[in-house]
Amino acid sequence: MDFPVIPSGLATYTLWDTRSPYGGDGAVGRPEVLSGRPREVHGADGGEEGHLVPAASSRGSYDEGMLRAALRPRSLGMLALMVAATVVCGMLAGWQWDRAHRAITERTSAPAELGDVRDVLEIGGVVTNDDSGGIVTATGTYDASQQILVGGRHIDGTDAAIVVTALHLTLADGSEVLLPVARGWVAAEDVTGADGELDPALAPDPPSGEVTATGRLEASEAATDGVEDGIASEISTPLLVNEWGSPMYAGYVAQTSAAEGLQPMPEAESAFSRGLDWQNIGYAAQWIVFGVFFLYLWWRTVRTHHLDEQEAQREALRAALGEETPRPAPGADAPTPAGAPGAAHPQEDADAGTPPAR
Amino acid sequence: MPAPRPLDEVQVRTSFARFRVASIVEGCALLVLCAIMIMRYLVYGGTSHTWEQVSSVWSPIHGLIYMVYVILGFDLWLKMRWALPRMLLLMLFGVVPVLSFFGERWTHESVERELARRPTLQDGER
Repeated sequence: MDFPVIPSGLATYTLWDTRSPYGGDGAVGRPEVLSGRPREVHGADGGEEGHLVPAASSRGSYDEGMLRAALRPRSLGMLALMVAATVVCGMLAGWQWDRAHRAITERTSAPAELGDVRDVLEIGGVVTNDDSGGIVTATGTYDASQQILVGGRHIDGTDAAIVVTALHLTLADGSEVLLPVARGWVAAEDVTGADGELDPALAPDPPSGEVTATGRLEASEAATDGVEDGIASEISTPLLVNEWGSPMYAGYVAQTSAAEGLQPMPEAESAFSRGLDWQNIGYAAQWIVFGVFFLYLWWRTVRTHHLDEQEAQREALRAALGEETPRPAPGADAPTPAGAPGAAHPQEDADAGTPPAR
Repeated sequence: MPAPRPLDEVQVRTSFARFRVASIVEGCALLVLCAIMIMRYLVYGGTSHTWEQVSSVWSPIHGLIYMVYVILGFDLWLKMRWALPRMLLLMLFGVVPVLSFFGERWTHESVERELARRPTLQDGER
């Protein structure tokens, strides 16, 4: 393991420990202090073996100390808690991941037959997730003047425009309601006028008289801009209400049976929608970050405890040597008197160039 | 129990100042989010397009503010050399409406108390 970050408290020690007072060769002179006297003391003291040996004098003892700190019952209990938190975060990440892919996965199962759209939808009601994607039939008459082109789609590798027409349905009480029907799609170049813009006049007219359209019920797409000159970017009922009037169902039917002059709508909505929901992908990533953060917190805690313990051991060592405990100077870089016990401090990491006392 | 290593009072106070700002901003952002949720689900019952839009804009912004709050809380937690449960508490303060304001006051008191009690690098200056 490598620990590149020097915690704030530690940075002070390293400054007055080894580097500044002695420069490069200081570290060479001191190993006698380290390898000789402290071990004597620890032998006389009779304390636990690993504890009074200046910690981190080698890589091995640093890792062992960390391991001991990590295996304390309290640390293990905390680890269990953190792992539980991480698992919860992982599950939440999975949930968001599924949500991001829902448009694809849900459509792969066989769609439900829902029957007449008038029995499925209420005027003003929303298309629920359960109903969305189900097959409905709608019988009524198209209004050729209420037709728009929805451009900017890619279907079967072709730049496509979807033809959406208002179907007028008659309810049981004799009132009339509008239902947008995506009758099918055409290649964008077939409906592009001489000026390079989509031209709704080039789209095939709807059949006249009473017709029955069969297709998937879909929720309205979110609008990003309006309907202009019969062109829109989304099949959005809030926009179409403005154009065609109300009452209108808050959803549309994507016709899967072929209409004259048009390609039928693809089986899956994801094939003509804009693909993955990146917002949900982002949320999934955030949950993973949180999960990792909990584990990192645990590791930091263990490390802090370990460093405290090391420092306590050094204090004990200095006390045992019968020398005065040095305090860090305010500036933290004032020279320590040569030969003072502060000099006996080994580096935490091998970042001082010459590692003391191998 | 190992002897605590000294705190760096200057760093602690800087971190706390940042955390305090983050606490207040996060507290306000969370209240705004709650208001939006009340309008969206309680007042309009999930049918209002406008409130859905407002919510879809504010939710990620609030998420970002909370992330910053957690990072600044983590910074303070490191500088104060606190134990692990305290970090979880700081994170909790940010997700319960109004609690972050009280949490910030409580944290301030803890910081002041511990700076007075525990050894600091600045002790020699006094």
